[in-house]
Amino acid sequence: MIEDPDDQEGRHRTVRDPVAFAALVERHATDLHGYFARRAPQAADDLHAELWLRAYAARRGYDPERGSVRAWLFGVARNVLSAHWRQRAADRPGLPRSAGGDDPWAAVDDRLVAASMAPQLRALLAQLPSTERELLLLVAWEQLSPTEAAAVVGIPAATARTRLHRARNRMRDGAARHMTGDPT
Amino acid sequence: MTERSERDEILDFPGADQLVAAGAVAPPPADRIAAAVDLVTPRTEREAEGTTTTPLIVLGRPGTGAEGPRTASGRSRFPRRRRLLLTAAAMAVPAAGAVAYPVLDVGGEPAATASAATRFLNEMAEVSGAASAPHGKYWMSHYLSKDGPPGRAPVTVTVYSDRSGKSWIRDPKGKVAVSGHNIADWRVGHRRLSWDGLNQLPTDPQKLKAHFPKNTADRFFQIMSLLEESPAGPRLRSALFQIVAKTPGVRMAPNVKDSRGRLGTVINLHRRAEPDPKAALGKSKPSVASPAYVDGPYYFIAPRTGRVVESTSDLHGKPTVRTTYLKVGWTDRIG
Repeated sequence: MIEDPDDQEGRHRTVRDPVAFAALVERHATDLHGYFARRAPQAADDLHAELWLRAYAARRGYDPERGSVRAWLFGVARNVLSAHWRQRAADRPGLPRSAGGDDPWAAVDDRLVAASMAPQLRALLAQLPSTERELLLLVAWEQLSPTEAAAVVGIPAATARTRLHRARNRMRDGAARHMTGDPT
Repeated sequence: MTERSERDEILDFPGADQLVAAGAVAPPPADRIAAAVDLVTPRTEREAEGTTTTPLIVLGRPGTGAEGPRTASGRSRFPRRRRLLLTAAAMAVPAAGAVAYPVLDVGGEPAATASAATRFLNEMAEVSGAASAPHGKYWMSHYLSKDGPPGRAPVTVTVYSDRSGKSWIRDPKGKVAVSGHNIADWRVGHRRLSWDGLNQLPTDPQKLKAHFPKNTADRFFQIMSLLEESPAGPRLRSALFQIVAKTPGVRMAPNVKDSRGRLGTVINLHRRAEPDPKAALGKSKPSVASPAYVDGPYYFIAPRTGRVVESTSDLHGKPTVRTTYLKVGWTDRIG
């Protein structure tokens, strides 16, 4: 059974129905694998597998009132990724905070370097509060709507919109300062 | 404003195109998607098998005689050497209220028989398999142990063990001593395995089952002992639950309170009383009071974690043997 994105009850049934769950995997696996590939490329396959095990085990906890299936799955993925980074930090206590914890910024920055992104843009992104940066990346990379990104991060949609616009303004202002040579 | 135009507005800053482009990744190979589907499919099929219900059966018989439950060979069904488990946060999710032991039975029928007990145990296999992998130098369990005649107070015990099998015990006053007993081993068939030994066991349920006794009851109690007190990893726990799910005679009762008032699901093995060889020869009285059936011990399982939070010889009255787990998990230090 393929879920009807406009049918909330249908979405609910699909997530909870064990047989229909496999259809969810086929439908969302590529996007979710991409989420991990962008943030933890070396572990993407393992994390992707872990995601589906957890999502299946937790499927009864899905509440359609709190967002789409897609947002819920990305939320589970975010938890899997956070656990991965925390475990990595625990396994390697000497690792600098920026490379551990549950913020994948170091891996994201590696990707930006590899993509030859302008250093000043990387610096501006690095200066964003981690939640603002995460929301921005969920919109830019995962093509989530602000409402979906809010559900992934676990904050109200209105708060997410405020933070996203604040992030955009920071990026605009930073770029303008760079162009005028203002170091502040 | 639509969500699409919102996205455009949010990404309206210099360099946004570069940012979006940097996120481009190749789609995963088809076999990665297939692997994800394969990972879920056996679980969905197992659950789909368990959609047929069997009638409710009321469990009303107290468990055992005064000496506590024993196997055919006279061994206690309760693990004596060590107990395990559970962080307080991992207790059962509170429900509306406890009920008085309505029990759903696998029905003594073959494995594929669908039942609520089978479904529950398969769910516990899922929950266990999705748990975090072990980490930490020591396996620790902090528990209340009641083992003796009525009136004897339970004692608080904390046990640590490392991967090689070395063990330490912390007494109620906080003093830690190396255990003089070999308590960090777990019985699997005729062998006793350390933590490292457990890690060598197969995690395919069929292959794993071959390591345990063929006798259903002996196998069930060995497996429950591992689920109760061992540091078995997520995949091994999942496989153990899958074997239990296919064990004829396993019953369950949801929303039952343990001695601490925590709600969980109780499982037990419903079976015929084993004839006492000595009694049969007229040399002693039967060790079990009368009964045609012996049902204990009972295992309280937290549905959210799949952990055993308590085992007890008797759901009614005053049990002779009871282990109540207060905290369990991996740690990097003793004390």
